[in-house]
Amino acid sequence: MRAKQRPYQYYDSTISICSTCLTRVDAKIVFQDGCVWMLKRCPVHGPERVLMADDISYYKLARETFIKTPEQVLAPNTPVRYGCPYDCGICPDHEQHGCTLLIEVTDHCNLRCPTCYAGSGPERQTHRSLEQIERMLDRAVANEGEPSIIQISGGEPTVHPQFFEILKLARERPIGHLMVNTNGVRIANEPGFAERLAEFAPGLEVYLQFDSFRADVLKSLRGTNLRRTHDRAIDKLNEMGIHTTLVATIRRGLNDDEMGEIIEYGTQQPCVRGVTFQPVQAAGRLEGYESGYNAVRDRLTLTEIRRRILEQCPVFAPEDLIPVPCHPDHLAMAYALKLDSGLVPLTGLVDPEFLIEAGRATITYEREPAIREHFLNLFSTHHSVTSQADAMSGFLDKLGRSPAETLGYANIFRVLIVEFIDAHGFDLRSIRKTCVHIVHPDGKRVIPFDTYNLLYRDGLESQVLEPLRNRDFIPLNGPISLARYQDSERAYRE
Amino acid sequence: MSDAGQVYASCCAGFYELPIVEYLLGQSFHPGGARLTRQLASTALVSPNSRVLDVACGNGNSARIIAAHFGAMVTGCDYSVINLERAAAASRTARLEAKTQFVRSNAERLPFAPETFDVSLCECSLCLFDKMDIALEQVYRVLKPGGRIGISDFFLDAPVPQSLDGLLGRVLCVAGAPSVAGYRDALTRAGFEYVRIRIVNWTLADMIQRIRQRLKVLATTAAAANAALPADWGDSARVLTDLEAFIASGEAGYLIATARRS
Repeated sequence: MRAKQRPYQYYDSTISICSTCLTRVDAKIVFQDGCVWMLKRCPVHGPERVLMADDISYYKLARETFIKTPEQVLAPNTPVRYGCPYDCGICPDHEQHGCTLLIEVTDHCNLRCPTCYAGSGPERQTHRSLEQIERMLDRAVANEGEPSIIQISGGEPTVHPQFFEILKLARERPIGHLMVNTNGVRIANEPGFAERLAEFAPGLEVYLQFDSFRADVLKSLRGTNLRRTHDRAIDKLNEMGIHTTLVATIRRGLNDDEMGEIIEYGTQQPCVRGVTFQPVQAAGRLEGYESGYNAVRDRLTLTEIRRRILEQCPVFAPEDLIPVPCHPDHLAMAYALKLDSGLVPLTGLVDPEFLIEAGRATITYEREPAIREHFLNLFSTHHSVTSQADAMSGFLDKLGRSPAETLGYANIFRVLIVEFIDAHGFDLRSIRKTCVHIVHPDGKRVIPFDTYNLLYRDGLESQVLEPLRNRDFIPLNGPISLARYQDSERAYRE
Repeated sequence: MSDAGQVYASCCAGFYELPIVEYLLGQSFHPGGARLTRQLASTALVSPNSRVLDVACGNGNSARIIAAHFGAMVTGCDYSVINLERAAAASRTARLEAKTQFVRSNAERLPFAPETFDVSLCECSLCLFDKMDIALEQVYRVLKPGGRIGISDFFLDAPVPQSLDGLLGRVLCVAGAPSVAGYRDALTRAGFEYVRIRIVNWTLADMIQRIRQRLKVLATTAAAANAALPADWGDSARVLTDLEAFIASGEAGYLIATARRS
């Protein structure tokens, strides 16, 4: 008789939260059908099976190889009392400092996007005062010393009546890089706006919402066709030479076939230094889904985005698009040289060990002198004949100029995947490593982006989080592993 | 396909059926073993949704690794009937019969409709084919547009030292292997684009060490097994030492090549 077997390989156990009530629940991580799944069970809402990754090798690479000693905030802001993720602020058990800190200066927005993790819109009128924003900036500095990146966000930050004063306040502080997270409407439509923005360059970067080239897609994601707005904004940013990252929110089945095209477009714009792809986080406003957001049908994981990029942008090979060591499960990056002849990938030429060991724990490697030095050395120092000879010779053929001349910051192009964690795929092992944080408007706390949108934003803290903190223990009442997961059974075929 | 091509393929496949070969090379008949198979499949973008063709699949070990680890549907083809029977039996044992199938065919005439597969892998087999160009054209034909080919094989950038010209040397894919540029050109000629080549010589050090250990065991135990070696086998110990030296010179080694069907 054949031994009875699990239909999966058991990999690990972890703690998650129920996607319905956000209660902490036990979970398992298992491998089945080439995919990584989370199995979990809420005592009240029952079992769930969630796709974590469709690439076991990459998942294990991120978890097991791309590990480095985490950097910490100067001092935590909240005590550990209820357990993760109910103590965010940063608490002493968080395992990463903030690589990027968001300061949300307003809840108001000149768009009302059907998909918005912040639930912003024209109807919301709260602009934070300069005093409050100063307190938030000071909190960022108190936590980080010299924050690597501060992102002015919202709502739509450019509609804040004192927007440029906010930039000045940020500039007065020891901040490495200042970013403005914008939909580009004001840059595109208001004469003189980009010019004023340019006064803050260099050291200011525009993080420009840029999801699609198709009218129907933009209508679904943004409520309106922003195609011409994007073009005008990019024209202005090119004209003013303001460094820009294109940020695409990716929704399964909607614009996940456009990533190669967006990268291609980015390489043709002098102002564009990179593209960031973010799958929709199931948080905030999620409208425009047929019969509502359905995690089984609509979620998109990092490895799925990564493979689509590799398929759609064949100049990148898998070794070029690798985990970012500060938060390897949920960030992946590729560096390339942007040349007239096209993109030439760099990351695959660098020994991953080097990226893990060198540099600060931050997502902006190109600004790390040691890393830039290393990229340069790739071309100038001796390389063993067999190791990378073929890659290098192809590389040098394309380069055509002296490497030192070509390898400035201006020519380095970055592709980044940022998968924010939602309640479905919530994994305590990962949430502790998150490095994109939001400064709470109270100016006292800094909260991971991921948990902020689930538990701390606006009324969530009092309405959702407080009852969870004080909830009585409920017995599990059944196993995590079931023979069948009916509500999330997914015919994993496309 | 020419008669000569068939004879060559048949002779090579026949060689792999020798018990001594499996004993020396292990379950995965190629350098790098299961680890390199997974790396090759990852590099060629195998996903849970892929239909994969494994050309010259041998006993189906790689097909099973890919089916189990990537969740992909794998078709293995090989010229050896015995290999195919063993492949099918092993898939049943591993409960992978729903994810794998095995088909008898020669690489120079693949019995599949055009645009059938997402990925095609050729592990340590391309350099054995009499007509590599024809095999690559066949793979190109059965791949879907945008599909990927993944090759792992020996390369030779200089003539082989005479001592490696025996049967063992040939089976280690050394004799007649193309150069790095040869692979690139052949893939390009067949219509593939975005050719990327990676040198993976760690696989050879591992393999030579393993063969050497097993030969030692063989020498101390079974005189009968030694007698089963074909006449033109060659001096095993010397072949391995010379092979190591040759690889260290940088003129020969093992590579992974991937490319995209346009």
